[in-house]
Amino acid sequence: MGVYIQDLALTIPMAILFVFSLVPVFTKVFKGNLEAKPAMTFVTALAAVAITGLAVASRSTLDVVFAFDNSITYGPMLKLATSMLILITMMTLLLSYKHPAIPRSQYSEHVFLLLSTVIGMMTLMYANDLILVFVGIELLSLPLYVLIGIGGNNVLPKEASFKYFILGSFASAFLLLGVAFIYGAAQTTDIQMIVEKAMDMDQSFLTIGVLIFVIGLFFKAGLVPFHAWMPDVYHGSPTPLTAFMTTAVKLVVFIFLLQFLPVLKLIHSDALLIGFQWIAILTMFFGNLIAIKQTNLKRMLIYSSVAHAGYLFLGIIAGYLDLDGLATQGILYYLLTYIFMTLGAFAVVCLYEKTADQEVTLDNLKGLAKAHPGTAFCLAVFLFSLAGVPPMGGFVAKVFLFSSVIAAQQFWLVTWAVLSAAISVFYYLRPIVYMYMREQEVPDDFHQNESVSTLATIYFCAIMVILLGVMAQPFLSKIVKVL
Amino acid sequence: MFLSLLIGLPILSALVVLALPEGKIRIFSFASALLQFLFSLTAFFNFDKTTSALQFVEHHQWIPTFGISYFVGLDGISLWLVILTTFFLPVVVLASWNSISTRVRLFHISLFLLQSFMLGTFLVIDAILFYVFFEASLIPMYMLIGIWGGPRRIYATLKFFVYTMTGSLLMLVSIITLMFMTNAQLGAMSASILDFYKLQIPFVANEFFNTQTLMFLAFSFAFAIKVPMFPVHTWLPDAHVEAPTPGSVVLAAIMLKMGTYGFVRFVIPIFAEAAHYWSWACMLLGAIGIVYGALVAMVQPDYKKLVAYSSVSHMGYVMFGLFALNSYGTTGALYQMLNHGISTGALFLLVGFLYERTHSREIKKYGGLASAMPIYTIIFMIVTYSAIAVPGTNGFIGEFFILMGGFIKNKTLGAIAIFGVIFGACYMLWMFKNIFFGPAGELVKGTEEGKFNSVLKDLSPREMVVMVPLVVIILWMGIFPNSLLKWSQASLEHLTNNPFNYQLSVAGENSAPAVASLPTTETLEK
Repeated sequence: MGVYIQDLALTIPMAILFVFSLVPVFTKVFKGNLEAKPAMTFVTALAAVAITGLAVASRSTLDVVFAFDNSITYGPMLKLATSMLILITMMTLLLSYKHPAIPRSQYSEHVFLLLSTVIGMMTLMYANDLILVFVGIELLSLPLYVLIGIGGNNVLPKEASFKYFILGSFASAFLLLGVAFIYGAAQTTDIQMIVEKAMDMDQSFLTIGVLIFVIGLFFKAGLVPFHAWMPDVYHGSPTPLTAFMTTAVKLVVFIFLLQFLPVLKLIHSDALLIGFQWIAILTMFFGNLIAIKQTNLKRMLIYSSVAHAGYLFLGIIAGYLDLDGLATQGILYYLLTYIFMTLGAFAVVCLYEKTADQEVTLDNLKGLAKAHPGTAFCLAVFLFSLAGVPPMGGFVAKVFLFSSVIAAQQFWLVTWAVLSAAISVFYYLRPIVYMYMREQEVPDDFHQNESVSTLATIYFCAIMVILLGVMAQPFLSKIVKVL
Repeated sequence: MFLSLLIGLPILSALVVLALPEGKIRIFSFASALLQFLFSLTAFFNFDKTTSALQFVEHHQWIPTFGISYFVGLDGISLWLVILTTFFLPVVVLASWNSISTRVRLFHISLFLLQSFMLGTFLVIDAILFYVFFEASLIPMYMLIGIWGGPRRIYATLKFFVYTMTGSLLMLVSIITLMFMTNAQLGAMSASILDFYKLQIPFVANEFFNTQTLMFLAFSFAFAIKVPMFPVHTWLPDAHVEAPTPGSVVLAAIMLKMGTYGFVRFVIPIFAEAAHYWSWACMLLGAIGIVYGALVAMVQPDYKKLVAYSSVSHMGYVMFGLFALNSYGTTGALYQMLNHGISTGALFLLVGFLYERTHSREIKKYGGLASAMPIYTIIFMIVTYSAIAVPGTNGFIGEFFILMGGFIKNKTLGAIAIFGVIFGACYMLWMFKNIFFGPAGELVKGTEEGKFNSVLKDLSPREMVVMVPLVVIILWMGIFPNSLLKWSQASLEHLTNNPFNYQLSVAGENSAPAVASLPTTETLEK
């Protein structure tokens, strides 16, 4: 018992992030509630994320370790996941700087809340204790509610924030109820201990507890039928935050689900497997079918991200069927690709939002290939990749992910997955049709907002998506090493 | 390096086109395409026609964790398809000289990328990489139809893309399943087709739901859509009619062959038992395709659509011959692939030339064109003869072999298929008569009596340069078939002589241990 120095050392990245996140707010307070230059805040935030990244990278991690009385865990896989999270944060900062929907006058608060969310996400991923899981989820959600709502006088963000708050609390209630049941059965909230003591505990309480608990997690991951809040909330949020949430929240929830797999596997039940299969199939088909009808690019991408959560969940099913290695590898590679293609596509939306409440519709994309060939090409790369067309990263990621499901002998599940992927091709191609094949002069009021950082993010994401497709092995080796 | 250069040079050319000034793109593209064609011809100097083994092999790891490698090789089956592909690029560039006037840069980039992906499809021996090229080739073709196509181009191009992509996704699932089988049976995961040939895939004859039959269907479905085989051919008329001439030519001449090539390379050797068991069904669909395509072609008022349906009919022959599963059928099928490439490619070019002049595709509006454009008429006639398989042209050799193989296998189906020959002559000659003979139609008539419409100039020197090589090839292939077939003979014999234990080796290696010692999934599962 007791806290050791090496335990504290594990939390250094979080501490750095926390201290730095306070800098802009404190500066504002000391200056008498006068907002500092956004550029200053921006640089501070970037520095904070960069130093955190360095702190994560510099710590060599060979084994899985536990700290603080087994309440947190850290290992090579989590190191990789943290690096991915930091990358997302970095790109989100680049997108939100100068974005019209992000309030200039409250930029320091924005940065503070964003970095706090990241701390919450790290807590969730590292948690080995169900109570800490709850803390992590709350710590990542609460700043997000505020982040979405602050700034401007628009109705949509306020509505989104409120909806997210109500349904998020609902999900938290589920989580807590699940924790209570599990504690009732196991007399502990330590995930490791639960797995070890599984034999001699009340199985029915454990089953109910675990089920209710994962439903709470499915809420956060946006799996059908627990997805109802997602489209409106993500649509109402400022686009940089939508990009952040669709990537970072999914990343941490799925990483945590991987960590939680040993507990899930305690419940050997065909019914549970069938339930999971239905969730995956419904999620994929719902996302892809609804996306077909969308004419708003942002909303289309949101539904596409629902569908991709379904694909990712296939990996969790493979993991549930004892193929942890292949499943983790598939999920990690898919997440890595998914981050770049989704964030990149949202970045293109960001680029064309001149005012806080401007919507980018498919019609707006007409003739884009002529007006801005570079951006149009990048968006085409993201969309082809999301559709899983080779030689983009999305294709290779699908191969790796599906191979884990095939190894688990889930042939029908994979068949449904590829059928839904085939449906998705239809809507992913439509923006390309508008950009390349519908001739029209781009109207004068539809120009890129002059954000170099957004443009840089787009190009970076596009290069990564192509690299992940044609040079998969270096990335895959990195992932195989952390298994 | 030879094969990598073949695949890589078009990409390099595309990059150069990206940097060139607008005015020089066409010249450069043509020169580059011609050089690539000549370069591909050098294969004949080093190609050993006595062996069925893969030649010019290059093997590099791509994703060793999954046993996926960059593995290319050439044998008698792919040799002529590669030459056909490289041959058509300069033809198409030259044919599009005037007809493509907007976004010339993007057009040539698409053309070069398409070229590279198609060559990749024919050359790679790794199943995943094959899938990559097979699917990637959709993107440039999607652009070609969607940007430079006719009025319903967006409908056509979306239909084309969604159809083909849907079909091949199940093939991807099967490929991954086969990869896990190599892991279980050969000790290491591999996506190489050579290892797939070695697999024992469980097959139960009178049951539908067994591993081999399901995988056979998944692969067949993917390739059947591409061929296209009746009843999944419906994307083809739309795509062909809406595509610009160069798009139609490449689509008909080469992309359709990717489907039949898939049958030869994957379906028949890997799923041998299932292919033999279901061969009657495939032959039946092939025969229906032959007759149905011909009958539908007969009632088309639009000459481009007529040629498109004739494609369905001709590709039906290829399928019919392939699934006869004997040496006549297979040889005929390979020959018919080349014939169809040359003759339908030529037909689409001719149709395109006429459309550029009159901007109408209605057969009714023509008539008496023979006096207005005599040279055009002569060339059209020779190509028509090739399409209806008149002896002395290439079409005859292919259809004769195919029907002979078909009769040996199944007399009833052979009898059905032979009707296609008659119907084929009907619709082609009917079209020929209505366009070229009879009283001058409304488009052919000039404003003055006795003069012709002023747009109807005979073929220009550029167009002659495009067409003459095709006509020469048609006659050459019809009179000296063996000059082509001798290069493929060893491979084709090897394929038909070893129906259930087909193996391919790599030239220069005695036993082909294509499975390198790679990390297996067991080590992953630690």
